[in-house]
Amino acid sequence: MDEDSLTKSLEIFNKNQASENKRSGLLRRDMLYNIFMQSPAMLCILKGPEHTFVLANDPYRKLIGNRNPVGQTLREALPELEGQGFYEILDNVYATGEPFTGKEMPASLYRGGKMDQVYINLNYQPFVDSHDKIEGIFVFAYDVTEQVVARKKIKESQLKYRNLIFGLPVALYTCDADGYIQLYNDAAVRLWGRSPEIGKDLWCGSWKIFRTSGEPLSLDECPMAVVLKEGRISNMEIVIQRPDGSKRHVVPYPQAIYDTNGNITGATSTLVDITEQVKTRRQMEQVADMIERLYMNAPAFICTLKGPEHIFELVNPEYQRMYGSRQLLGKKIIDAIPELISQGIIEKLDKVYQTGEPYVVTEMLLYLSRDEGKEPEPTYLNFSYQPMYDPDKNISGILVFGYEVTNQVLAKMEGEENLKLILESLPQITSTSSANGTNIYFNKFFFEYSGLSKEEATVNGWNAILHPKEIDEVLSQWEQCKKNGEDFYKEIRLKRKSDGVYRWHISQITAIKNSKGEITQWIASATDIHEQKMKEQKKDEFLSIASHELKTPLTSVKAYLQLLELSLDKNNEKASSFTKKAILSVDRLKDLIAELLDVSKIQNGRLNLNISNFNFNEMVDEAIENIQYNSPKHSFIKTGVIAELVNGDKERLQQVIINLLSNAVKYSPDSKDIFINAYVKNDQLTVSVKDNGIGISENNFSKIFERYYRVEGQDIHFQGLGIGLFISMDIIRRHNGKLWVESQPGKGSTFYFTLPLKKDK
Amino acid sequence: MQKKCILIYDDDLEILTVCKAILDYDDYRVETLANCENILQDIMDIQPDIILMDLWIPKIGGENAVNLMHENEDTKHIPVILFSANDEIEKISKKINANGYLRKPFDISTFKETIENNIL
Repeated sequence: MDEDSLTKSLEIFNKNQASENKRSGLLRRDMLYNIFMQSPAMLCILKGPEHTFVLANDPYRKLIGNRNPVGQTLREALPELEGQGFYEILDNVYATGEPFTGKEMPASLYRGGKMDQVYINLNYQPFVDSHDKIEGIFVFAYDVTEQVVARKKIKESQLKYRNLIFGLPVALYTCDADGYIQLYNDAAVRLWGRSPEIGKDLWCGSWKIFRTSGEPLSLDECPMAVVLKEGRISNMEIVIQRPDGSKRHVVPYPQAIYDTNGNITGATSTLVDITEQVKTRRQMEQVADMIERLYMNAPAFICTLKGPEHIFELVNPEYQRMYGSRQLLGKKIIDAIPELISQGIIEKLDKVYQTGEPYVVTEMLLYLSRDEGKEPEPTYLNFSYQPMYDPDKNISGILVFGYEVTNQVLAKMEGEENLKLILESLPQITSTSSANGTNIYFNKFFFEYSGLSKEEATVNGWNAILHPKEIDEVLSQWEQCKKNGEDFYKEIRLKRKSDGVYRWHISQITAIKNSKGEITQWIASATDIHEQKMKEQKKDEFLSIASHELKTPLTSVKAYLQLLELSLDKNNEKASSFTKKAILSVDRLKDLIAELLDVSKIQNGRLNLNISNFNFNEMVDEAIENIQYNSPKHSFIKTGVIAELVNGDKERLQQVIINLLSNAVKYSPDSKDIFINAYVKNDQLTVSVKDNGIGISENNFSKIFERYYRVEGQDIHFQGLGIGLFISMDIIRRHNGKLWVESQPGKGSTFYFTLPLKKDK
Repeated sequence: MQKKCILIYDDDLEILTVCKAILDYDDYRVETLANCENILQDIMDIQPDIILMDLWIPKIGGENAVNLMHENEDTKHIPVILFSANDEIEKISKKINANGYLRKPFDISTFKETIENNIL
């Protein structure tokens, strides 16, 4: 018998009690009494306003700790109920006649020497006497303590789990079967950026959600809704936007909750925030994207060839464009582009695959069929083959990267063609060669002059017509030029086919450089200077003969004069002095002839030095002695002694000193002292010659070293050809020294020259 | 004692005359020749103690003449002094292994010294 049916039966019993009492006899009353007393429900009857116990069955007595309350008022029987509300409820029922039903009412009862907490379902039913006046209260109670305690324990354990779950750092929430949010934890609040209203917010606590594509997602499409509506689990990544606008990337892990009949009663969902991972992934994607863009849109052609047979694995659009609609992907290169077979390309690929050494080439001419069925056409390419490695570091394929440069090359060739047209028409021997010196082109005149065939020219080039005496020197100088990137300039002899004459040429090889300053080619030319050279040689020869021929009679004159001097009467001083003067004039004439010859030699770069180690000091002393003899009026004051031997051309250096000293004499007509000083410092010899003469104005400092410069505009006429300093300058330069002047007009001049001293020679 | 002999080759007669005049002051026998084609025979005939050789002399030139006599066992011991107005005389004299050189025009003292220093 359950609680409800008992209550019902008691109500019926209660309602009919009065008439029953009247109609039934004692037997029935006994029967009822027995039922009352034996009922498993707790029953008692309270009478009067003080609720005096008239009857209490055993279960009731058990409830109150086996006390017998009969004959006692409620307050007397159960004083511990004071303050628990029961007295007041019963007073109210008695006063108003309104019955009272209470469920799981807690009550503290004194049982077995202690207070016990019990939970009771109870019913207070008033009953009336024959005058319809309330006589008492029928109490029906049912002890539900066990059920309540058990339920409370479940609730407590649920709470524990709840706290545990809700304290988790992972966002988690639950919805009921209709999708109303029931529970959510702090992490969910942080993730959502808001607290949804329980029982009101549907599906998801987010403010707004989006697909990863950025497309808005309605809340009833979220994985929680999907699982509740369809039972299907979706872990679709979504983007949650918080009310503050910030966004988080989230993967939900929804899980439906089923009852024992397999119906969905709700669902939980865990929301995993993957925003940071997404950021990293985004960055990687961006890189990948860039590579993809480069690969797809680069103006460069890119492809990868896999394996030893070079099978097209990837081909970017630019690469494909080169071959039109021809099928490349998945094919071996020799099948896809068979025209490459005879062009040396497959061998290069094989080599890269075998050796791992990259191959880079510029402006390579390949004949490629630019579309299915088309004739191969010339195509110029800059490209590289780079080996690709598998994770085990074995070569797995080749990355091809390059540009087509056909238009540029053709444009350049057109430019070169124009250049060639010009070169062709030149009456000069002209050729071009590559940066490393390989002959590329010879102009028409080259062939005309040399009589060489194209093959001979390409193989031997200029060497075939160079003079045997010059070939070694030319080649070594040319090597030097190539090494240093310097232009070549030299007078050479080239054999003319028509008469077999080695004709003199000025040859020049000029480096052509690109914008980066790299040499792209060399242009060599030779201009025929044979006639000039011959004329010059004739002039040299003439000068040489002239000086010789002039010197020969001078030799006789001088010798005769000296003989005359010797044979003169010692007392004839006048005659003796005349003779001496004549001899001096002969010497001057000799020097002038020598100077003329020197100038001619300097002009032709043929002033040769006769290098030896010599005593510099002695040489200077000799020079002074020489000058002193011819300039008895001047005093030469020498300071400084050069202890070491000097390496150089003694005669030529003496010529310089004599030139400087005689100039000092010449331009110091009114002062008599000439100072000559020499010292060595830091492996350099410096010599100075100072006079107190007329001096030189600064704007003439450089002019005085020029050829045929003569001091002009002076009252006095100075002797000389005006070539002494020009020759001295050349001699000093040839000794790698310097010659210069310091001077002030009217205060005299100081000429300096320096010579680097070579050690150990 | 026999006079020492100086053989002078020069195509300029004036030079030959003046040289002879200078050396006549001293006690030398002076022989002069205006060409050097027969240098070996000349030496055999004259038996000089020193030779002064002009560089520009018909027809084979002084350089070749000196080389010729140097190649000959009977003549190579005779001292040779190059004797020229040529600028390169020092160089050439070294090249052909001459015993010395004399630049034209010369000083008669230098002329004499050079001969004295080199004569056999």
